[in-house]
Amino acid sequence: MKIGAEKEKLGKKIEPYLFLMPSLLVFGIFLFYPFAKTIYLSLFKTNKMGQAKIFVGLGNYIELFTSKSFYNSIGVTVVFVAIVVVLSMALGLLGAVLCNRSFPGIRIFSTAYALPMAIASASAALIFKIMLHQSVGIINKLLHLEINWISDPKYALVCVAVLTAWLNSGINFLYFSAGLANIDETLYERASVDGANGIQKFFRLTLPGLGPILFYTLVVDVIQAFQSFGQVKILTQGGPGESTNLIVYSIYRDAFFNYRFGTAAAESIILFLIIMCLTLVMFKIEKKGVKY
Amino acid sequence: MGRSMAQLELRNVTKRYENGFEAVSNFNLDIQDKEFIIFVGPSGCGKSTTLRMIAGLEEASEGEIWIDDRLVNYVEPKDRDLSMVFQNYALYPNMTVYDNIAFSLQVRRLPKKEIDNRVREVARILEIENLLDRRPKDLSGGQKQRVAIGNAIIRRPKALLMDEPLSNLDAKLRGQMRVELAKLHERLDTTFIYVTHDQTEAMTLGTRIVVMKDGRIQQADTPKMLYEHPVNRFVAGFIGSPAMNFLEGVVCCEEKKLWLRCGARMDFELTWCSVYSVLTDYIAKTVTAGIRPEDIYLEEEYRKMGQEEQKGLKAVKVTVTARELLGAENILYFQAGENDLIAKVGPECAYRSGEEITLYFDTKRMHFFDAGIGMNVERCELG
Repeated sequence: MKIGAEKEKLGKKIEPYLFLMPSLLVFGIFLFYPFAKTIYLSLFKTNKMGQAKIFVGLGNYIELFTSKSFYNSIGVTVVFVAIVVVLSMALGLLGAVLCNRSFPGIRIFSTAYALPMAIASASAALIFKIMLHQSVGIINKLLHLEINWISDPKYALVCVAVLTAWLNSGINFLYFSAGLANIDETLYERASVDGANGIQKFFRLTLPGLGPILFYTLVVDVIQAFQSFGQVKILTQGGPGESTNLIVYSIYRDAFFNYRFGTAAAESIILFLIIMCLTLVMFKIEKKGVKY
Repeated sequence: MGRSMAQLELRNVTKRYENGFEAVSNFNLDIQDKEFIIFVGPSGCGKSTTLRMIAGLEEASEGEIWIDDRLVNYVEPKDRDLSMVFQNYALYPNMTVYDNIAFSLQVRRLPKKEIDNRVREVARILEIENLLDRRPKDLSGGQKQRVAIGNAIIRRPKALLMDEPLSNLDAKLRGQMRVELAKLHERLDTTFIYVTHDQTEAMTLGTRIVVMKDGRIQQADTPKMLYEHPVNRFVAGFIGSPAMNFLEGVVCCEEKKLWLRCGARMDFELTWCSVYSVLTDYIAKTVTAGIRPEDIYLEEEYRKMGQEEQKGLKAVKVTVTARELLGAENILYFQAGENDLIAKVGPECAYRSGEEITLYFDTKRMHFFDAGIGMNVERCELG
C-alpha cells in the first residue's frame, strides 16, 4: 500500500518532465550540445576532421582580434545589416500602408508583397544573379548600363543587401499589416476632422501606433540579417576580394575551406555575443523609449 | 471667443449604400447659428450617418450640404472647419492630454505660444489643468470625455458635432456632463449638433430636436412642441419617460357629444379636448388616443384639485399590476380593460399589485392619432 502511494508520488514528479522530454531532446541535440561543443572547439586547434587536438586557450580569439580580415568581416557585416534592416522595414511598411485599405484586387497586392517570405534565399539569389548579369541581365538592359554588379567591389555588397532586404520584407509586411489593422479607425476619422493631412496622420498616428511592432521586427530583422548566408554563398562567395565576406560566410570559409574549425568556432561565439548584446541593448532602449 | 457665423443647410440629403440600403432618405434641415440641434432616434435610424455626412466622413449619395453658403459635398473633412467628439472619444493613445487637445492646432502649424495659451484656457474651462501630462490610458471615462471636448472646442470651429458623447459614461456622470454641456453651449456660443438615442438628453439639451426613424425626419421642433404636439404616434411614444400610453378607440357621437369608446369600462367624453373640432371628422372611425403617464391622477390627487382643473378628468376603474417608487414619484403599472398602462403619480401612493382602484385620465391633454397612418389628427387637418 505504502509503496504504491510513493510510486504514485514519484510518477507525479516525473510526469511534467516526460511531457517536456521530446522538445528538450530536440533542443539538446540540435542546440545545446552544438553550442557547448562550439565553445569547447573555440579553445583548440583542430585537425582537418574537426577534432580538437591542441589546447590554445584564448589563442583563437587573440588571433581573430589581430586579423585584418576579421575586422573587415565585422565592418562589412555592420554595413550589410544596416542596409538590410532599414530597407526591409521600409519596404514592408510601404507595402502595408498601401494595402491598408480596401479596393478591388487588394488580395493580389497583399499576396505579392508577402510573397518574398515564401521564396528560398538560394533560388532568389539565382534569379538575382541572372538579373544582375553584366551582358544579359535585365537591370543593365533597362538602365542602359554596363556594370558588372556582382564583381565590382563597389556594388557587390549593396546587391546582396538589397536582395536580402527584399526577401525579409515579406514577413515585415505581414507584421505591419497586422499592426495597422489594430489601430482604431476612428482615430483617423478624428484626425481628418481635426485637419491633419496624410503625412501628418502617418507620422503622428500610424508610426506611433505601430511602435511595439516596429520594435519587434527591428530586433528580429537585425538577428536575421546577421545570420544571412545563402545569398552570399550563391551570389558572390564573399568576393570580390573580401567585400561581401559577412561573418557567417567567413565562419563557413574558415571551417570548410581552410579547415580551421577552432577559429570558426571562436568567430561563432563572437557573433553570438554581438547579437546577444545588441538584443539586450534594444530591449533596454525599448523599455525607456516606446511608450504606448 | 471670436468666431465666424455658422449656418448649415441640408437639402434632400440621401445616403444609399452599395447594397441599396438607404440609411438616410431625403433629409432636409436648416440649422441656424448657435443652435443646439439634437438628432435623436432609435439605433439604426440614420442619425449618426447624417452627422458623419455633415462632418465629411461619409459622402452623401444625393442632395447638397451647405455650410455658410458654401457647398461642401466634395470638401475634405479637414477643410470644413467643424470639429467632432466621437462616441469612444478617439483620443490618440500615444500622445499626452496636452497634445491631444493641441493636435488640431499643431497640424495647422500655429505658433507654439498661442497653442499653449489656448490649451491652458480650454483646460481651465474644462477643469482638466492637472491632467495635461497624462496619457489617455491613465484617465477615467469622464476625464477622457473632457479631453475629447477640449480638442473639439480649442479650434473654435463653425460647429461642434457630437456622436453619442455621453453613452460610455455611467448614469451619474452622464447627468453631470449633461449639465456641463448645456453650460458650455451657452459659454461658447457655437452651433452644436448632437446625436443621441436618449430622449432625456435630447429634451434637456436641445434648442431644437430632430426625431428620426428609418432614415427619415419625423419631426424637427423645440422640445416643448415635440412634447405637446407630437406629429405622429412614433414621436409621441419616443419623447417622454415613461413613454406615452396608447389606447385604441372609436369616436362616437351620442347626446350631441363626442365620445371615445375604448372597450367595456372606458368611455371618454371628448368635450374638453383641444382638438375637438378635428375629431368630429373621425366619427365612427378608429383612432389611437395617447395619454402621458403624468396626465393620469390618483383619486386623492383629483380631490385636491379645483373645479376648473377637475373638468375633463375621467374616472376609470383599473387593476394595479406593479408599482415602482422612485423617491419623489411612483410609477404605477395597471390594467384597464385589455390595455397595460402606466401612470406617474405622487410618492404617497401605496397601492399594491392586484388592488382595484380608480384613476383619473385628463382628456384635456389627450393626443389623438389616425389609427392607420399614425399621424396626429391635428396635422391631418393641416394637410
